[in-house]
Amino acid sequence: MANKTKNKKGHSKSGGINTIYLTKMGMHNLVANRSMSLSSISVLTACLLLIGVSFLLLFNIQNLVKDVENQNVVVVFAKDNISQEQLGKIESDLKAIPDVTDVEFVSKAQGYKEQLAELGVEEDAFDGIINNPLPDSFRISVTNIEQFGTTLAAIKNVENVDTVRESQEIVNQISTLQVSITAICLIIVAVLVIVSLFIIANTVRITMVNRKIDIQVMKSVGATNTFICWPFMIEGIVIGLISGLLSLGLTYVFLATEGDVLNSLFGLFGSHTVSGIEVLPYLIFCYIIAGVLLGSVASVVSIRKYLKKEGSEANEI
Amino acid sequence: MIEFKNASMKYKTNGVVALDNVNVTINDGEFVFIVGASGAGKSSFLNVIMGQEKIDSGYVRVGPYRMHNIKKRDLPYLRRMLGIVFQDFRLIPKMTVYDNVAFALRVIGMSEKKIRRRVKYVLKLVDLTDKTDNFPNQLSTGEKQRVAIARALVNNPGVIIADEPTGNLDPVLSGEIMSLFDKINSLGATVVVVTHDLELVRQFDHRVVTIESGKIVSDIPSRTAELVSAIVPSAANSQEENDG
Repeated sequence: MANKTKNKKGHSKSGGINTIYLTKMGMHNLVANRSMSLSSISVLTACLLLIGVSFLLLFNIQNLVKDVENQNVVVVFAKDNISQEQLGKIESDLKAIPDVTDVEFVSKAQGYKEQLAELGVEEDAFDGIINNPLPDSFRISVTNIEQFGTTLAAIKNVENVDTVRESQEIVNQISTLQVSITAICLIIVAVLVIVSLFIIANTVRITMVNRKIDIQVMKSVGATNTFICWPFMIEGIVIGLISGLLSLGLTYVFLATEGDVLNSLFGLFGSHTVSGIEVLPYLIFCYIIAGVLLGSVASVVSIRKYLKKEGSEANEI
Repeated sequence: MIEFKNASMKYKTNGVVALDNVNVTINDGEFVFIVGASGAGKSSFLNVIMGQEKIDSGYVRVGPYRMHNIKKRDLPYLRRMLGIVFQDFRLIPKMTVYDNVAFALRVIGMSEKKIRRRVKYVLKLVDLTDKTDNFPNQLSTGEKQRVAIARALVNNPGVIIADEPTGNLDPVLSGEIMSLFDKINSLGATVVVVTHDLELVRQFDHRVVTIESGKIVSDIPSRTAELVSAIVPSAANSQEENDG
């Protein structure tokens, strides 16, 4: 007998499962039970789409926060009447603070000029009326919004720093929003993963009940649990794969045709929308790998449970 | 060899005694009818042999397996030693006759080349060569049972277990099926047939074990065996030794 080994009792033991035959059997079953397969694919596609949308939302929120971070310029005013050396020391101290990405020196005169330009006033409009009230300053870009409070405290502690202008309230709000939205998205994803597992497991279970006699025949001729599980696992994997591909296609169609909806939503916050191409690896993971994993895990768990509970006997009807 | 020693079993769900201190030995190559009324314990006897029920006390051995403590993972390998034939045939409706029979060999990972050769041989043995590509719903009841027998035989098991194999057949077909079991037995397989059809049992010269309320109430050897024992006493002694 091909690939035949013996178990410890000296009786025939399958040397290797005929995987090609079992895979064909799984594919055949998928087509034979097409109404059940189609309903599984539809429901799983819906779940995967919702998971994908949650991820897209998450990516866009993270992108929005990153944009705010990039725009997050803190202005540090130095004390009046300090030497060039002291100004240089402030600059080097600021650069040494973690999460400070860029430090730009703005001289007293340059700052005044920029303020006037921002107000739309001629440069010489106040000549002879008021003296330049602005001190020398530094424009600082800060990253990692979650640590903004710590970074700010470090900036304020630098010697010869007089005042610091920042918008911590906005930063705090965005940071809180990011945490909340991330948590909500992850909860949605977790719930949908459980729902998907449940749906596929139930579909496989119904299929198994329909094929109770087949399973009993398999048992009576000496099939191992692995042999019985394989075709069901193939069915689950293919259902997951098709659902994943469908979800991926639908998401791309949506982004291509209705991407403006996202653009206008996130554009309100001055952020650009994360496109499908940017998150392609994540979407492939979300849809195809998650679909295949969900399909196979749910099938195996379901059939193992069934075999343990009901299908272990070769003779029962 | 199948051996029951003081084997007793009670159904846990209703407390009914299924087997009560059963002692019987079926030697390799024997043909044994297990007879008794419905609920007498015949199916429980088979279920213990197939590893579907475990005895509460005593000792049962099927080939190299001790059935009172057989591990779940060994059950598939035990069943590959047994060819099981059911009253309701248990054919897979979506498979052809060929595939239904070949299925038992695919389960054990045999190569397709060997499967073709083996299936061809058993289908010839049960006289179904011309029905290879038919589906079960295109067969008569007698033909369905012959496919089930071919499937049980194809793996060349040492023991054929048949649970009421003629229960759904008319007397003529029943006789044909039993003749087929006779033929299989003559090829060297041990055959254990559970039936309540005493008329059919009388037509064949085989050992008959009667079960009533879980007990073996009679164990009548075949007339040929009796005759041989009477002529050659050493044969009887050897039989007793085996039984003991």
